[in-house]
Amino acid sequence: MKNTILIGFIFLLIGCESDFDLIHDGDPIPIVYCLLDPGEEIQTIRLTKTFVSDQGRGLPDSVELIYYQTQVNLAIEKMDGDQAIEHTEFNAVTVQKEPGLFSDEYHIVYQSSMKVTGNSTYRLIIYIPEEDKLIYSYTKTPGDFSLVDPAYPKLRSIHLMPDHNPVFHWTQAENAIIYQLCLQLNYYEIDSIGTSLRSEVVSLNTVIKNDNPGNYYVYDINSTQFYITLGNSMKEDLNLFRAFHSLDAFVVAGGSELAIHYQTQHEGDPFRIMDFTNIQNGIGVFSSISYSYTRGFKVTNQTVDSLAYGQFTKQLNFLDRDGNRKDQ
Amino acid sequence: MKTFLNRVLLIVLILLATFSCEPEVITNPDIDNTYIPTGILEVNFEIKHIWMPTDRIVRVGLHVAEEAQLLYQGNYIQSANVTDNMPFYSFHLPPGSYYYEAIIACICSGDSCSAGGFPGNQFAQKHTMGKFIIYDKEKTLVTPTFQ
Repeated sequence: MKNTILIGFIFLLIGCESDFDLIHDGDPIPIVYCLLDPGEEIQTIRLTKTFVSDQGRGLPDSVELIYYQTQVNLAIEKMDGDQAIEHTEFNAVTVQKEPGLFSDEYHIVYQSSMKVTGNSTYRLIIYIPEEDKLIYSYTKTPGDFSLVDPAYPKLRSIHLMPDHNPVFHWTQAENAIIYQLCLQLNYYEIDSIGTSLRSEVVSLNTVIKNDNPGNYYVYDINSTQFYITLGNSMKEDLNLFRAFHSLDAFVVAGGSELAIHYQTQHEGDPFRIMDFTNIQNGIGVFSSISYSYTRGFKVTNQTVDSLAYGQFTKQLNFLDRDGNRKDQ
Repeated sequence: MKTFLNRVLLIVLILLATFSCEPEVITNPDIDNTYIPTGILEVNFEIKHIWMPTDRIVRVGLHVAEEAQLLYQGNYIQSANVTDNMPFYSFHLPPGSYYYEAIIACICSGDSCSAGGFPGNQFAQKHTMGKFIIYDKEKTLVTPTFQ
């Protein structure tokens, strides 16, 4: 009897494993980002998943951790009330990303050819058979809207100088509450081989407008900011010249989900970035955008000269109003 | 003794109050406080036309130059981004004499523009110009009129 008690004590002492894992490898949570774009023929869904890193440190050194390695079914449906009237399946496509924090081995997005119409409801459905998990979300695409100003590109020139900043006027788009004002600079690039026409988009202001504007929304853009952004985004190359061709003005309207996501990110609180989601059984954003363009503006001579010799863009080698570079 | 100490304390307080209230003027060398004389040109760019509906005429340009010939050469010192939604424009300028140029265009199709007095059909333009003087801290109002 005494021996039995002794053996029992020994078992108790050895059997009490006091170490346990603080981090439990639970089911990964799907992370979904999809922005329906009527201006694109191919729509894209980005699907990743949460992962557990070593003691919460570091980024994954392998993309296998962040992508589903098993079969995943993705589809987007156009809805009419409760009924799906169009069904589009999405397939995995491997893409190469630019070097950055995350591994640049390869990356996976899901793409399909799909026409997106304005002022319509779409449903995103993702089914992961291995986990028997269904993820879904809804979004309403923005309706038609118009860029009222700048207008008449055949007649008017845009003056991008701080003395008179250009003013954007645009009408309200149904289902949209976030708008981005942009200018696209079209220019010739002239090098020893020849001349090519190129474009550079300059995103100027992102504004959230939830009120009824009456006729249209009004927002004036900062001309100096245009030159600063352009100077930072375009590459300096002393072996070529650039010559102004035209300027396109456009407004991008985004859905309410995108607006909330933008606001959360804009506030800069890292603990709130992942707070907002409109994905059921997952996290992320399913939203949509729409555009209104006016293309082909000329600019005033002062604007061309500012592009050529202004402090923010002089290194880009743009030709002045007379087609010269005075510093050459 | 106590009264003497109170008096000394009072004198020290008065001296402190007298000399400590010397405000030190701190100037930021990066900020140029030089006064630049400036006046304002206000332009009442309303569209009036007796032969045509005014919603078929658009503002095309509004420029300011130092000399009349510079207007023709496109050497403006300031230009407004004109719109159909705003008739008033203002320019901040140093005192002196200047010239302005205002431009409108007809957007009717067919021969309505030429019939309405424009030199051509759709997108035909009319120009007008004028001289004005800017005085320091004063507003100058001009109203472009088109033939």
